[in-house]
Amino acid sequence: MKGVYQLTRPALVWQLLMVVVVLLPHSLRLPWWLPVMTLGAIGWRLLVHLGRTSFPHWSVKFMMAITAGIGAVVSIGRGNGPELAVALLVAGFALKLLEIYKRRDALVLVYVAYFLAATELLFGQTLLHALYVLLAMILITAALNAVYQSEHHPDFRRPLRAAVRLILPALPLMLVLFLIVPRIGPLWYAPMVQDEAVTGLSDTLSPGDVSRLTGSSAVAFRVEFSSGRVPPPSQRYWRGLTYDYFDGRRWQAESDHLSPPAVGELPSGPLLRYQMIIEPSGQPWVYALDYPVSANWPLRLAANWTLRAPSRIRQRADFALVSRPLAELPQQPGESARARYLQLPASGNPRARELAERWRNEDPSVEALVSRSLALFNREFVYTLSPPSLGEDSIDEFLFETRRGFCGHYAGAMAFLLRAAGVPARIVGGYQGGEWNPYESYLLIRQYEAHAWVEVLYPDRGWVRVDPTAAVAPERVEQTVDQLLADEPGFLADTPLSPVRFGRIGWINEVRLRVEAVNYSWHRWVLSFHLRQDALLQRWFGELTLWKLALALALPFCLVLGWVALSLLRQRRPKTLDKVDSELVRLSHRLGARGLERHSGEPVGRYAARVAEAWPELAPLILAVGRRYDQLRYAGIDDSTAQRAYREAVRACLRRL
Amino acid sequence: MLATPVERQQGLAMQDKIERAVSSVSTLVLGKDTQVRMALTCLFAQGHLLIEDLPGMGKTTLAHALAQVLGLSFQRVQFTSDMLPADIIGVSIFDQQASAFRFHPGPVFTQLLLADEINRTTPKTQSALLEAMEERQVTLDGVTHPLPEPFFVIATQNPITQFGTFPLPESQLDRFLMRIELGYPDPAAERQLLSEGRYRRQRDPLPVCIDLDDLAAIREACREVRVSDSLIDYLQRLVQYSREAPEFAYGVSPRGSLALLQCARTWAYMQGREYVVPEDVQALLEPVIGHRLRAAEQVGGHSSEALIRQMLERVDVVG
Amino acid sequence: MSAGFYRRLVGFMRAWSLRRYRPVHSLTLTQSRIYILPTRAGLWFLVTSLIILLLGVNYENNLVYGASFLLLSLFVLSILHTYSNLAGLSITALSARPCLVGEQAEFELLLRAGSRRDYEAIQLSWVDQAPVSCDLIGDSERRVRLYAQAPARGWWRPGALLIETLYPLGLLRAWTWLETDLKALAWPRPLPGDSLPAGSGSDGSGALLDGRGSDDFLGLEAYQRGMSPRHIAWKQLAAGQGLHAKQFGDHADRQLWLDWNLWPELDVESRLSRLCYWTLKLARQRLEYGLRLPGIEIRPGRGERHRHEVLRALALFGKGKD
Repeated sequence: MKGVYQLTRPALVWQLLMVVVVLLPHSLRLPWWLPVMTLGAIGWRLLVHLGRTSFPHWSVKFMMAITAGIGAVVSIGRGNGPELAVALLVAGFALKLLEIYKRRDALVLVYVAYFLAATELLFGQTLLHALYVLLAMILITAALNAVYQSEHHPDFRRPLRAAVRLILPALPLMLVLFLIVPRIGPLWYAPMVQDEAVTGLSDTLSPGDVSRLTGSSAVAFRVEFSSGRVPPPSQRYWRGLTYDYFDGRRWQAESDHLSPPAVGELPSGPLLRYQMIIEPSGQPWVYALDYPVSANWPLRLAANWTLRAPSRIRQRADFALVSRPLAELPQQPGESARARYLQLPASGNPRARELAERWRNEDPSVEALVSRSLALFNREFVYTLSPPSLGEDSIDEFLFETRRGFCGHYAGAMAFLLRAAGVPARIVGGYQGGEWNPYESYLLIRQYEAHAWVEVLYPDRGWVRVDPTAAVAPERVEQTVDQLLADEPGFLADTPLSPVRFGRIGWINEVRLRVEAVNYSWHRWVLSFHLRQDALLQRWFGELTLWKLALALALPFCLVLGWVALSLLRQRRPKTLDKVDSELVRLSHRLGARGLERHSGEPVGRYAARVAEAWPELAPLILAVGRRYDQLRYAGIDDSTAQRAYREAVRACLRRL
Repeated sequence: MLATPVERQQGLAMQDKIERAVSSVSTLVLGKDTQVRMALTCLFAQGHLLIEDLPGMGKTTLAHALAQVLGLSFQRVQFTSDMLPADIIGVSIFDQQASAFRFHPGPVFTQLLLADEINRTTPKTQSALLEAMEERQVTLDGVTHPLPEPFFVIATQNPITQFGTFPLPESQLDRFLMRIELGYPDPAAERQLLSEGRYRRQRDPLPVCIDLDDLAAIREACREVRVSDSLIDYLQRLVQYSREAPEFAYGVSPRGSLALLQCARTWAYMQGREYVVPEDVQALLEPVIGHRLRAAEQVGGHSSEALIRQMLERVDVVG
Repeated sequence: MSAGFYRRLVGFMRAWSLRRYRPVHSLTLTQSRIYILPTRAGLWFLVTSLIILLLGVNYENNLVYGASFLLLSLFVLSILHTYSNLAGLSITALSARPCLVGEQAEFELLLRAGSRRDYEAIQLSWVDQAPVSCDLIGDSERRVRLYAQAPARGWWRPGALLIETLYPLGLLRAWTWLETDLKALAWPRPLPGDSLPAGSGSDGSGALLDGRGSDDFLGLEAYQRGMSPRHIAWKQLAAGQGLHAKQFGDHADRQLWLDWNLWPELDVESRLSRLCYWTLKLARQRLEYGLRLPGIEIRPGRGERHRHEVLRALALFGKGKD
């Protein structure tokens, strides 16, 4: 029964197409020589097919395999499991191309292609990725079908049709499985796929850092509020990390080893519950509205009331948070902590120190110092994305010469002044604002909304949020950043075609919001479905039992399969008759009561003659029917008058019956 | 397409002529009205006719009468087993005076050729004739001699398998547009035949009813006969049935279905109708495709006639 | 599953399946006769989807879960597709051609599509014989010729017909076994033997003529020196067509009898084989010959039909009616 199957030309073309489609997205990540090798293999295989050359000798293939294997290990490194595995698979995949002469070889290639297409989803999970993989699955299925296509009727397009016919009904089945099949946690530790890109704030802050982020409209995180009022824009301070150490040039983040604060120390007040879906940032920081009071595992609350993930966030993550929106935190750190928040480098920025000294001499109260520095910024400073670069004594230069800067400059300068005046202060890094999406009711926070502000320790009130930027440019905290900065040259410099740029045109903005809403739903309902599955199923089915799940699985399956079976096995139906014929059939049926039914194959004219002979009274009427029918059908007199005449003739006959 | 009154007039006059021709022929071939009409249809449609019947049924008389009413030159060739292709198509003979080969045309150079008992001669001779029929020319020693225009062949064949005959293979049968059987005359005709007896042959030759101009006009007019989509659908269903039904070893070829359509047009024209109706197709189905079909081996004992009747019953006109 | 066990299982299934039904002339395949099981390639496909599922589980990646579910659904759907690639197909056993023992007999089957659907890549084979693949794409019926080796003289059946398909994805194999009512006639295996013993001619007058006879006129050929002047075509010569000779086919004025008693030294089968050999040889030479077997006499004749008649008598000698 097992014969030797030579692949047909369409089957081979489909194989090559499949390889290209599967490897295209991977090739961007792989070492450059792998896609090149694959292209070489495709070219070689084509030449073999055209008869220009022959298959390589096994020793050549062996050498190539060894070389590719060693090459992959060397250029990727063994530490990066998934990528190495994919690279090795791709190498094998490409080399296997030089071996497809039989059905079995083609099958190996197809199955590996399925697997490689699926692994693509480990590296990217946008809607586009998913659609691409779906397309790839269709093409791979077409390639598989082409292998089994009849050699008598080789055809390039038929496999694609067959694949679409197979995949389309498979989608609802997939959906049912996706919804019902319970998710289980990882079976063993699998190293996450590396994503080198690090975005967002980093653990050091120099004055220009934040403005660098305004070049990007990439999403930082999304927030959906489940209870509590959505705070107004000016209250949306998303705290991520605090900077306490200044080395004269840049601020460094507070280290995390501090013990977690006691929640009970917070004053009572309204709570905000929200769900946060954070994009991979390569950093462990999770941003929360002011003071988070609880967070789901595995987040930790640090002493400075910020949240930390256990490791760097390299995949989109989803957290349920509860916050207390407060502008002040009535809490006093210990003496050693106080000293830390007063730290300044031993020297540098003499003019700023001098100014702070002068202010303190005039009025040492914290309130006075804060208001004087805000007043300073308010008077003569300009808020801009593209501040001039600063030299050695950056604070001095900024305060007394350039006087142009972004939030990082203001926060840094203010913290320096306050510390120099003996008031403990720290810089907070995070985001401010967020765009409300009315279609899916969530807040979208982008990188360009990154912000830095100051927290000042009052002797009586504890930590109080002070935003010097608000003093310079109050619009910054009240409007969205894109409205504010749209004309600034540096804004969105990294993403010149971002739709956010065109936000002021009404309909484009609407479309953009809708697209983002779709994206959000995608994240929420597909990518993090495992977090919602239980709740969803319980809402649908109540108490979850095994048989309920089995039923929920089986019922749609039976429906879809029944429908497919029907459409596949449908027998030839009798063609529906048009009006003219159906009238004739009715007449013949009525005459059938008198044994004068038209036989199959009997022309209408002859039938009419037969009826006329058997029943002379009806003769003129039925002969008219026959004549009219022939005229309509065969003489080409098929206008509305002729049709009416025919219908009337039939009616006249029927009346006589 | 409706004809103008004048054209219609001409049409009617032409149909009168055709009717006269039919009745003239019928004075010699008694009681075979339908077959005469079919034979005329075949000739009008520029096809060759195969008459299959027992000896003595009037095949030759029919052919001769047709030649007379159409005013065509007539040759009759009795085929025998020792006949050579040259006996049909002619030979080149060396003329000593002109010292060149001169072509002596054979009997095929006529307007109406009666090839009597074509199955008695060898396949070699048969195929020489059939090639001439197909190409309407004769090529000998590299010289092509066109046959006269019009050129019809009426071949007769004895259906009873007898010793020493070479029945035409299916591929050759396809060259004939129609195959008809004359059959025994009905009692009335037979009676008349018997009473007139031997005097019939002494009559005057039949008058020419349709001359060459008329023939050309008829052909032209037949091309104008309307074939509606519904009719094409019906035709297609018939053809499809013949290809799908298990009782046929193979179905009607595209050539066969084209022939059917052409004959149906002519038939409709002869009835004075400007469009083809299923009745025309049904009337001609047996003569036109009967010899182009072969019953499958497992349906023993059914004549192609019965199978075609069954086909007409199973394929409905409507729908 | 070892190959031997598998083969025995299939053999058992086949026997069971064939016991349930009588040999048929024509049959439309329905679910009661169509069996369907995953192929090895199908099992590997499942393994691939499970590996992808594992990937999804370990990386908690819902899209990878989805990809795996898609492949599983594809598998389930391809059950229907594979099944429908046989369902509704009807097979009619058309004819079987006789052949010599040891040769491949030709069987003709007719496949018809039950509805307007296409059937693709259907394999037909007699059990344990080479398969023939065919399709019904665009047309609704197709004739298929299958060959099987004739085992022994007389009527024989080629055994069960296996109809199977892997289409569309090769994940499953749908198949059925079917015993047709086709039977073929196997003529005895020719046993070459020296010249036909003298006395086999009816008049006892002599040796075989090679080729040419003298009676049946075939046509003309260019005259060559040495041809009998009696054959010159005088008529054509007179007509100025040059010198031709009439060519005559050989005529059966010589009747040969193939007799059971010609080779008394041979056993029954060998005698039949030897007679078969001579039948074929004489038929090739277009001689007229007859056959005498105990209880059977076929008068001398020629032609294909006569040859079949003689060979049939040889094939069925001593085998009873059927």
